[in-house]
This record gives sequence, structure tokens and C-alpha cells, in this order.
Amino acid sequence: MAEPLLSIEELVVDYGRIRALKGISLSVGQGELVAVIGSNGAGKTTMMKTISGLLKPTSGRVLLDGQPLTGVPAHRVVKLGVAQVPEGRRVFAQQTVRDNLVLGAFLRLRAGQKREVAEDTERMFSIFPRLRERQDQLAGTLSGGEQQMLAIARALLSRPRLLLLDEPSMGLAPVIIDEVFALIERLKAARDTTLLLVEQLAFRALEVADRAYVIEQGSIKLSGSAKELLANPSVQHAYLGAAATH
Amino acid sequence: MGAGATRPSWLRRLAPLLLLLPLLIPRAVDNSYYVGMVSRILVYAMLVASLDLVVGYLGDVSIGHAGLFAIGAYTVAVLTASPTLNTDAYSTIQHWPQLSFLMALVPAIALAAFAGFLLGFPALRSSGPYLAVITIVYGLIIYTFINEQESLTNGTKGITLTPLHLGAVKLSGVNYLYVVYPVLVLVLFVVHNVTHSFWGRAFEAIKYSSVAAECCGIGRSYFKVSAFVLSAAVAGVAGGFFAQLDSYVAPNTFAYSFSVEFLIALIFGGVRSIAGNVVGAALVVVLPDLFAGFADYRLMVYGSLLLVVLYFVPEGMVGLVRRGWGRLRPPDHTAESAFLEAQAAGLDVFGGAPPSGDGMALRLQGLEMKFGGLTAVRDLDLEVPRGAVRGLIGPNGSGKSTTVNVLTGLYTPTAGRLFSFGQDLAPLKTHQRARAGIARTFQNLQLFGDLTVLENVMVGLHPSFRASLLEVAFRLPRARREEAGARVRAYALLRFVGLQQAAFDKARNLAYGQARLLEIARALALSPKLLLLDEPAAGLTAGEIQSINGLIQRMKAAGLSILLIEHHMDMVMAMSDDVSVLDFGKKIAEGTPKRIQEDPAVVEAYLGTHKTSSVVV
Amino acid sequence: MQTLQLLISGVAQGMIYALVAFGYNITFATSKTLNFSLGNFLMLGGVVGFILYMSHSWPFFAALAAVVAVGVVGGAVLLKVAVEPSMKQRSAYGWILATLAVGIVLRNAAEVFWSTDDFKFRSPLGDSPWRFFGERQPDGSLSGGLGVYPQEVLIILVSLAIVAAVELFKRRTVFGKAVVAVSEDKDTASLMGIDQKFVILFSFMLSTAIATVGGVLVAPITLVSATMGTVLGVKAYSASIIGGLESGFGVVVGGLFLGVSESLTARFVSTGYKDVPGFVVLVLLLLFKPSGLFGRAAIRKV
Repeated sequence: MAEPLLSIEELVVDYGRIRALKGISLSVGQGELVAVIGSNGAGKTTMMKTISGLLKPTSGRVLLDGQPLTGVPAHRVVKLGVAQVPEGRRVFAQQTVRDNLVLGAFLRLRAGQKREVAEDTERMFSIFPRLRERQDQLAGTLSGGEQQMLAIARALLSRPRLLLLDEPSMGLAPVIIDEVFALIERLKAARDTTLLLVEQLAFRALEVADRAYVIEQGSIKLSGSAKELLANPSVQHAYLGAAATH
Repeated sequence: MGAGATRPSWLRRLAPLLLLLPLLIPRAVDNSYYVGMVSRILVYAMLVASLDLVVGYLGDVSIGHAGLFAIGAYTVAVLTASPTLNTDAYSTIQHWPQLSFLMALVPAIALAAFAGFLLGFPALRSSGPYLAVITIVYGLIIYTFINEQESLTNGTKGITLTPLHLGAVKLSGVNYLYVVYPVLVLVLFVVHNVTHSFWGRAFEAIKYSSVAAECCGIGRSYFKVSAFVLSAAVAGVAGGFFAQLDSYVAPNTFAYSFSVEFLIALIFGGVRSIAGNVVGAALVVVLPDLFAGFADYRLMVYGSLLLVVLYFVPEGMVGLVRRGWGRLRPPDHTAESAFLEAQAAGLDVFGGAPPSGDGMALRLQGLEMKFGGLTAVRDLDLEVPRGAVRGLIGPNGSGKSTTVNVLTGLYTPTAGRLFSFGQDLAPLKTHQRARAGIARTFQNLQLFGDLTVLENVMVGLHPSFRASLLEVAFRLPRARREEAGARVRAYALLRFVGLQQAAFDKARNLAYGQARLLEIARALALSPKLLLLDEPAAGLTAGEIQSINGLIQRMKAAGLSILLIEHHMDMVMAMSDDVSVLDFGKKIAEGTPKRIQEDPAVVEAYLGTHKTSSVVV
Repeated sequence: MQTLQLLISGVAQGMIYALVAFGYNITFATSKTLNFSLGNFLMLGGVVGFILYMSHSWPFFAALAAVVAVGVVGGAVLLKVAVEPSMKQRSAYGWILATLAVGIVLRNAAEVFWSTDDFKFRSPLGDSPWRFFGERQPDGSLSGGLGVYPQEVLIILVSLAIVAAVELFKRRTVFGKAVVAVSEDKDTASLMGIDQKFVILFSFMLSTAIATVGGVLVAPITLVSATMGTVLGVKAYSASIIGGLESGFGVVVGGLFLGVSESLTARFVSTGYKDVPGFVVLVLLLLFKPSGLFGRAAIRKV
């Protein structure tokens, strides 16, 4: 296999006094969609925050294209081509939809790519027509699903090589989740962005992913192709516990 | 420094000698100037101690204590001054009550305490910088009043007081020191007793986590305002004596910079320590004396000193000495541990009256919790039978923690009813529910960081203390007995969870697993009938989870009813009699663990739906 | 007529409060700290301006430029020396004490190294009032009627211009939006590639620069002294509360209320008590807005 785009080696991350990640290793190949699934508190968001540079690992490495990402401050990780759609969407509620997109393109605008950004913004609006309708509205007034679309569009505007999606389904109604995952499938089909998806809803994630890892209590318990894992009952046990006796 | 921390016995014998030392000074140094300085240090120390109550113990920055001080000083001045010494007084001052000093001191303390009471209310609503701003303004309002109300205070001209007299003897110099010194020692003694009792622990608990404090039965409003009242009363006493120090008061003494100076003195000496208060007071008195013209640039020096202290010695001079001493001779708790071990040996931590009232340990009916447009919990019915363990699970954001917060009174539900053993919980506030026997642990640990592990548990014992403030202030027998008894009981609780060897460590230094055990011990200190465990296993290793499981089983065997919120499925399924599952704020399934694991609605909530399925459900 | 004059003076003074309050808001938004020394930075501006313009006869704009430079550098120093180190400490409010300490050091340093006296600062527009609606005198000048000091007009115009410029900057430029983003959600702003540390530095430098300019603006209508900033800084908190985070113009409203109430109280009640209405409003506002100066109330998650 070619050099993976993202490579995590023996990553140990402490969150306050808790050891949130107990030494995980995984890789994401160019153009792949890799899912990391697990129930709450498993360490998924900690992993995403560490990749993006918001958290510092205690030990272990994160490599992007062979270059170390660990120790790089968050705003520079973005410069290297890694964008994140954070857990809970985290749109800038006090600013308009349009401004949120502008902020997504912050680095490119600073670099003088005004025209290209304008073109990309236009493209976003055609993919997300509802965002075009609401472009002058405050982002905080959007529905959950619309905010999720906005957060994804915002992240895409930085033209990332690697897009991190942290629990895109959280707090969304099933119908909206369908829309979001349809979008993720489209992104995957386009194959120009590599995707790392963290999800609690295992089945959904496994249906779109190429490969997946199952993480529980800070360690990777299972891994394999998405198809294999879909057929594996251990996934369900990882979520709902070993079979109860009473 | 924690309540009742053991000191080596030689230090305890030395303390009274140290106390008498200042009285010996006048004999050794026959110079009234230095005697005056000692008197001044002691009066200032009282003011610093009063500030410590609010800043050190309660954790609120107050930059307005000069105002409280001024109230004490001016009340005494106005009530005792005579026209003969104030011939330049504005003609508008009509009345010269000319009370004696002691008689004037009482209204001085009362008025200052009342001012403190008024300050307590903003303190309930604001905190941190906003409260600091209010205290600044408060001090400035008092200052403006004193400066402007010439008919009362003689304005900028100030008031000259008659020197203190004991009968016919004029008290000045050494005589002043001899008379005033015991009073000062008494005041500091009272402050020390209060801060090293359940009162002081209550103040500190509010500082570290007011939510956890309320859940331990501490009424935040009551104790917060009380801290301000006590602090103001002490400041009033200090102000009264201050007025007599120079026999003169003027408004510009009590300006804003005075408050700042004393704040610096407090931090420099070290918070939460009478010795530190004295050291800080000494700094403010001695420095101007050492350097001629110091008064002109004293604020610059103090400001720079504060910055240095904040970064390099945040625990203050006394804290620094203690740390150094602690390194030379690490504190040895073996004697006290052995003593507590022996005392706690036969103690049954569950020896409380069995819950009265019939009915479920917990019954929720139609509970609804809305935050603005978001409905976090809707139409929830939940029951925890007496002596049972009920598990409550659900994906992120399903409303579990919201439910616990509603149960403890942190949130008021928008609809629905809550009952525990037949008692309607709705009219009860958080601290009242704790007293009624509902205890909880927290998902994000809420420990009282700088208190010792033992003291953390003792905060949980707060509702069991019956001694009045007076008994506590003067260390009367009942207060002492209760304190000693509480220490033993707290130790027994630590033994129950297996933490007794860490009893004298600071809570913030505990390993994560131990910290979780401490929360359980603290919750049990309330002798609860219903225990709410909010994700007790989060972040724990398999072995630590086993310990918690063991504890849960023992608690259940002792008759405790438990609501267990957890994500760790193995644990929940093993420990619960029944499990309820929430999703999007609604209950989607309920039953035995086995049935829950096989329930398709539950699987869907956690793992999502799937179109391509070959998974065994 | 006299009342109108009082109102104008009150408005001018109020705009100064608004400027300082604006400065409080700017740094609070990005760093969640309240700069207790900002009033003393205003004093710093006034004193440096005095030294250069009055004592050393520099041209006014050169002196102003120097004052701005001092403000910018001072803000950076304040952040590095006082705020950042105290944020690393365990105690939650160390920065209150740290900024307080810097404030009193500044004030005392001015007293020690410059002077403890009050000085008159000549307005660059002249100190004689412009007159309107007066009676024309034989020599062509007006007397009586409405007298307005040119400095007061300057204060009002410049202050409004500053507030407008910053608000425009926040809304129209990319970097301005980045500042607003950091105010709202630091971490997510980082995920956009925004260097939040630099944004905080920038906000400190901007706020102290505004304060120092305010010092030069207000100096001609009050007197320049080492203590001119202390109480002013406290009074500006009122304007901050009313203004809140969202709008620079709310701060102007707050400042206006403060300045005008002061002016009227001084004339119709007593000069000594002129500060009281502002103080009382501040306490009342904080009582009814428990989320504090700038808050939307946050629900604490336990």
C-alpha cells in the first residue's frame, strides 16, 4: 500500500487526569474514507482534537504524509491541509452563514486567493442550496441539520487534503442524518479529499466507510474492512456490553 | 492549611510562648515608637484576617474592604469624639454623643456587619471580576459618603478622638498595647476557630465547587452572605481600634488604594493563615518605616511585589516557609492515622435510621425539562424501588445528566413531579434535598481540590453538625466533640472505599481512580437513602471498575437505593437490577439488562440503522 | 442654555467613558479577562502626551503618534508580563490581581518619575469656547449664549470615529471576523487556521492604544495628573455593562448616560456626589444581570 496520508502511532493522550487514549495506532490512505467507531467516552473526540493540534499527546506520533503533526499548534495544522468538522458542529452562531464560510477560507483569503474562494463558495452554495437561501442569516438561527451542512461546507472551503468529521450525526433527527451521510458518500465518491470519520452510530459509519476501527475505553479493539465489521457481532458487544446474565 | 492538621507537639507547646512574645517586646525595646508599630501591625492583621475570610476562604476578590474598615473607624470616631478636640468642626455637626469606646464599638461592629450583609447579595449573583468591580464601587460609595457628609463626619477635616482611658489612666504607648493585645488575640482566635471548623470548610467548598457544596447540604446563599457578614464584623472591630491608633481619622485614609494595599498584604503573607495575615500586616507597617520617603513610592513597590509573589510564590511567605519545612521534615501522620484507625474500627458507615415513608426510593412522573427551545427530557417516568439498583443509559445527549441535575435541584423541571420515599421534592432546594438523603457523585469530578481527602469527606458530613456559630467561635466542648467525631466518621468512610491511606493528601493530588472513590465516600457521608452515581466508571481501568462494582454491591446490601448512570455497558449490565434507556430525552426501553441488550430500539439508538444487515441482533 | 452646555460637557465626558469601556470589552471578548489597569493606561496616554506636547513642544500629531505607540507597546507588555503568566496559575482570578498590580504600579510610577501635581493641558484647537446664539459685540465676537469647547467637540467626533472604525473592522474585514470568531469560540477559531494567541495580543494592543488616545483627548477638559485614570477606569465599568459585548454603540449609550448623569448631578446636587448615580446603576445592573458584564448566561454543565 502506498504511504498513508495520515498515520497515528502508539498515541497516548491524557485529558486532565484521565488517560483518554491508551496507545492507539491507525492509518488512513490517500482518498480513503476510514471510520472510527465506538460508544461514548471511548476517546474518539480526544483523538480528533489531538490530530488537529488542540490537544497535546503524552506520547506517540501523528504523521501527515510522513511529516510529524504532533506538537504543531492547531492553526498551523490547518495550514498543512487538515480541516475538522468539530463535534457539535460549532458554527460561529453570532456571525452570518456567509461569514462562517469566509472564516473557513481564512487562510486562503490571507494568501490572496479571493477569486478562487469566491468560486468555491459558489460551488458550496450549489451543493447546499439551503445555505444560499440563508446566507445572511445568523448561523445560530439555523436548524441542527443546516448547521451541520454549514460546518462541513466551512471545512471544505479550506480545500483540505484530510477532512476530519467528528460525530456528524450527534443530536440530529434520523431523516437529517440520512442527508448528512448522503453528502458524505458524495464526498467520498469525488475522491479528492481523504476522510476520517468518527461516529457513534456504528452501522451508518460502516455503510459508507472503506475501512474502520472500533475503539473502546481508549484502545482499539477491532479493525478491518467495513464489510467485515458489519458482519461481526463483536461490534454490537463492544457497544452494549458482554451478554448479560439476567 | 486544613482544619485540625496535626502539628508536632513541640510546636504546640511553643505556640503560647510565641503568643506572649509581643507583650515582652516593650520591656526589651523601651521605645514607644516600636511599641506603636507592634500595635499597628496587630490592628492591621485583624483587617487582613477579615479580608482573608472573603478572599482566601470564600475565593472572592474584594477590593473594597477599606469601606468596611472605614465604617468601623468612623462609627467609633463619631460616637466617641468630643467637641473640645474638634474645634474646627463644621458647625453643622450638632451632636456629640461622646460614648465610651467600648459602647461605641458595638454599633461599629453592627453597622459594619450590616454593610457586609448588603455586600453579600451582589456576591450571590456575581463572581470573579464582576464582583471585584462591585466591591470597588462599594468602597468608593462609602468613601464618597464619608467625604461629603460633613454634618456627620466632618468631611475632609477628619475627626480627632479622645485617647482611650481605663478609668482615669490614659492608655497610650505600652499601656495601649497591653489592653488592646488580648482583644486582638481573641479576635484572631475566633477567626481561626471559625475557619478551621465546618464553617470554614463550607466557605472553601463553595469556592471550589458551589454545586458540589450545595449537594453536600451547604446552603450557598446562607454561607456566602455569612462569610461577608463575619468578614465585615471583624473589619469593623479592626476599624474601631484603628481609629484609636492615631486618635484621628480622615477620609483619604480609606481610599481605593488602601483596599489594594491590604489585598497585596494578604497575598504576600499567604492566604488562609493567621500567621500569614500577621506577616502581611507587618510588611505594610514595617516597609515604610525602613525606607525614608517610602510612602511616596510604596504603591509601586507593592504592585511589583504582588506580581512577583503571584508568579513565584503564590502561596505567600508563610506558604513558602511551610513548603520548605515540609521538605525538611515531611509531615508524619502515622500517630493520627493510628488513632483514627482505632476509633473507626467498629463504626458502621451505614448506621443511620432506615428510610421512613413508604413508596419508591425515587419516582419521576412525566418529567420534562426544556431549555429555551430545546427539550432535553420529555415525558419521563422512572422508578427506583427501595434497595434496588437502576441503571440509566443512553447515547450522548440523551438527557441522562439533565435528569440527574433535575433530581438534585440544579434545574427546575418545566413539567412533571419528583418523589422520594413519598416526599415531594419540588419545594426543596438542592441543599435541602441533600439533607433529605439524596446524594450524588459527578460526571466531571467536583472535588474540593486544596482540602485534604479527609476534609473532603467531612464536608459531606456538614448536615450532621449541630454546634452553633458561637460554640464554634470559642471552641466550646460541643463543637470540639462534633469535630473530633466527624474526623473519625470521615476516616471510617474512607476505609469503606479503601482510601484511608490517602486521608491527609490534598484531593487534587489524587490519582483519577482514587478521586472517583473519594466522591463516593463524600456522598455516603450524607447518610443518604438514595444515591445517584453519575458515570462513576468513566476513565477507570478494569481493576478500578471492579472495586467500584464491589462498593455498589456492599452499598446495596446495606439497603441503599441507587440510580446508576453509566456508559460502561459491562458494568451497568452486571450491576443493575433493571435498566432504563433514554434517547433524545425520551425513554425508549426498560427492563432487565438481558432484555435491553436484545431490544432493537436500543441497538438502533446506539448503533444506528442499517440497510445492509447481516448482523445478529 | 446652561443646561445645554452641561449636556454637551456630559456627552463629551461620557464618550471618554465609552472609549475605556470599549477597551474593556475588546480584551474581555477575546481573553475573558477584565483589564483592571485600563484606566491607568488612559492616564499614561495623558501624561506622555503632556510631556511631549506641553513640556517639550512637540507638534500635536507627533505627540499623538507617540502616545499611540506607547499604548500599543504597553498592551503587549501588559499581556506578556501580567495576564499570560497569571492565566497559567492555578488560582482562577490571579489575573485580577495582576492587572490591578500593573495599574497601581503605573499610577505610582507616574507620581514618582513625573509629578504628583495637576497640570493644564492646552487643547490643540484652542481653549476658548466657540459661541453660538450669543449677542454680537462691537468687536465682532459673540458673548453669552451657548459656549462649547472645541475640545469637547473633538472628543465626541474622534470617539465616535474610533468606535465606528473598530466596529467596521470587525464586520467588514476578514481579520476582524477572525477576532469575533476567537471571542465566540477560541478552539473552533483555531480550526479555521486563526492564531488565537495573536488575536488576543492584538486585542490587548488595540484596547490600550484606544485608552491612551482617550487620555490625550480628555486631558484638556480635566487636568492631567497621575491619578486621573483610577476612578475614571472604575466608572467606565458601568458603560461596559450597559454596552455588552455585541455592540460598540451600546457602550456609547452607556457612556453617554454616565457622563450626562454626572454632569447634571454635579450641577444640581453636589460635586462630591456626582459619581454616585453611575455607581448605583452599576450595582443595580450587576444585580439583575448575574451573568456579569458581558454575559449571555451560561448553563453550567456538571
